[in-house]
Amino acid sequence: MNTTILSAVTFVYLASFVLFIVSEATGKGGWEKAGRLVALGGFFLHTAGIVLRWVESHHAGMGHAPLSNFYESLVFFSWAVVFLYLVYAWRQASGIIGAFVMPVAFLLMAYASFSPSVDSQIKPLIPALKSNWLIVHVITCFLGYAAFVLASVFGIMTLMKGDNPGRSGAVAGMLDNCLKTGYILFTLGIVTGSVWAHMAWGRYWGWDPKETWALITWLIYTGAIHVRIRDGAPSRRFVIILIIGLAGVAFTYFGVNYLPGLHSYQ
Amino acid sequence: MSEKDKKGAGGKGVRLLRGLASLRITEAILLWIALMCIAATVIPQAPYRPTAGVSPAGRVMMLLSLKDVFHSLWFLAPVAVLALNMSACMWVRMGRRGSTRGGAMPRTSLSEVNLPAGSDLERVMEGLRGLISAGRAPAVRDREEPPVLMGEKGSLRRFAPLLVHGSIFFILVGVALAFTGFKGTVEIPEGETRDVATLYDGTPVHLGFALRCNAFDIEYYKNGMPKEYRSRITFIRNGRSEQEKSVLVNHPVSFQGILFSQSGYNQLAEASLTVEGPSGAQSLLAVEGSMIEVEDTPFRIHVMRVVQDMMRMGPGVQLLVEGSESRQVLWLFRDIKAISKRYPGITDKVPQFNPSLIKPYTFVLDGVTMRNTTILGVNRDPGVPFVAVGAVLFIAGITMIFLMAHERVWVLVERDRGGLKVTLARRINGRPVPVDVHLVERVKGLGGRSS
Repeated sequence: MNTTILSAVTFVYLASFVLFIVSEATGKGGWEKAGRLVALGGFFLHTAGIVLRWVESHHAGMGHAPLSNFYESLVFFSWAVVFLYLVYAWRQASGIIGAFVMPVAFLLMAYASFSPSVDSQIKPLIPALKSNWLIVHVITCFLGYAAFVLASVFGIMTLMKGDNPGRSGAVAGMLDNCLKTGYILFTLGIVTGSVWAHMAWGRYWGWDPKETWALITWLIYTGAIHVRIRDGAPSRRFVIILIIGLAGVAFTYFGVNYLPGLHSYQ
Repeated sequence: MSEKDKKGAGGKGVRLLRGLASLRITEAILLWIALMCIAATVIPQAPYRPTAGVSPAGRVMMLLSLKDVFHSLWFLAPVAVLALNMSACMWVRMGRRGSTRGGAMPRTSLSEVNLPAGSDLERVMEGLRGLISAGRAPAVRDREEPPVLMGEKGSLRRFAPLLVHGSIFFILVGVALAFTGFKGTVEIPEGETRDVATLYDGTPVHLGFALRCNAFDIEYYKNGMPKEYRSRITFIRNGRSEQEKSVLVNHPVSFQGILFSQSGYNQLAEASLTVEGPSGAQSLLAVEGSMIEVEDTPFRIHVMRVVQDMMRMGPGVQLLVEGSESRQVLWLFRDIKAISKRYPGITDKVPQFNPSLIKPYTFVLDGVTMRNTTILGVNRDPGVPFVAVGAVLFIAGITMIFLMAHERVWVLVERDRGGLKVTLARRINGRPVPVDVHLVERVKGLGGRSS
């Protein structure tokens, strides 16, 4: 049942994306408002799907937070992207933000729901994953990833010419907020992951490819913050670093699965 | 020191310090460390190579090798430079920010308000004091002539960059201390005691106490997947049992500063044998991979394989019996009589199956039992508390940097053409910024009221 709801969410996000595109093309605010409302509706449905999956896992006698395999991580990643979009950009009546953000949420859900290589079944947890630190680790990491996705979107928007100054000021503000949120959460994700590794494997850091790539991504964003402070305003090279950082996020999440290590999803 | 920096002249030392504190160096080093990390995930890594017996030249080569990036000069040297860069930066930049220098009224982004003639200086000053201290605790600092008022809030924020960068040093100290510890495993069959762990580079380490594995249990889900691994361990020191603990995945146990975590398990096949000879019969326990010296016989037995069911012929064991002049492989089966009945003459066709092949002895396999062995991770890392404190301070520091603002507002009052000229200035996190319009409006109101 939960997978049916979550598959439906994919199409709601697609619809929201189309509405935002139409709003940008026509310049009419009504389409933009409709896009935001559809995105909000999709978000509620998405949240309900995740909660239902949690309840269903309890009914199946396995009872664990839906954050334990590749499918569940994709669903949560998409949820986090939409959640932060609503938090940061709800008041911004700008279709272009939604037109950038919603396809990310849509593609993550589409990949989770329709790729034959992603198993959507609820499975019991292996002993290593039975830890409350897992829940904190996954939530902080993916909220951090989502904030970095939004930071890149806002970064690209600051480079787009022809914007009115009021809007670009607001976008720069949202960019800073997303970068700050992402950096705090991602750092917390690394720290909670270290605590979990200490509990599960007896060492807080082991240079596993996922750990190493998380550090690489963290170093890129640390560099981005220093460049942002030095330049005083979102500069071109700052945005380029943000985009490189997003590539780091993508590799930490997906790419590492192709390298041998303890974090590969099953 | 900060006074010297201010003047900008300074000696060679100060110039070097300023050069080292450059953000460009920070960016370059972060990039280099990131590239090294990428190299470590692309080039297959072979850490934990034994160093015993390696020549000094060999050790230098190991230090330069990219096969163990994180222990190589290519990684450790830039980390050391980063530490220097951060120290210099903390000394030069943040020392300056933390000092009173930033307390001076800025000369840019000023707002001026002219109050009309007849405005009462005392009343205006009182009003300004009230305005400035509103929401900006603790309050107002009066200066000497001309009177300047300053109100500030969030003053702790200026120490946050020091906190963040200082916390990295805690982490680096913790990481350095990890080199004084060790990482390895210990494998203990159920019911047995071990006091030596094997490090990842193969070196054995005496723990100074012993562990007995009283039991190792696996719980399964209905679908057969493992649900829980549990080792019941007794810690024994000087022959006395001191503690009995269960080690589970995600629930490690610490004893004498060493952390034991449930890392894996094995199943050990164990065969009970009887060797019958001219001087009588001897019972032996044979574990796969072990070597047994049999008393009153000329040979040693290498236990090659112990199998619970060998090709549907029941329990079997493969031995290499090594005499003073000959070597002979034997396959012993517990049910050799039944096998001989099923396949008449098999012990002649396959002499290895003949339990009496090595005369005048007869080898009998009494049975094979499976015994669980637990594999525990053994880690001693005295740096963990430092890393933990560093991580907590780092998070506290970045949260302060991102969520707090250190705001200071200055007001300078001067007599001007019979009236009063009020100059307002504001800094947020050390940078001059325009004064809040509402504040300017309220200052204008002060003059109006008094006239």
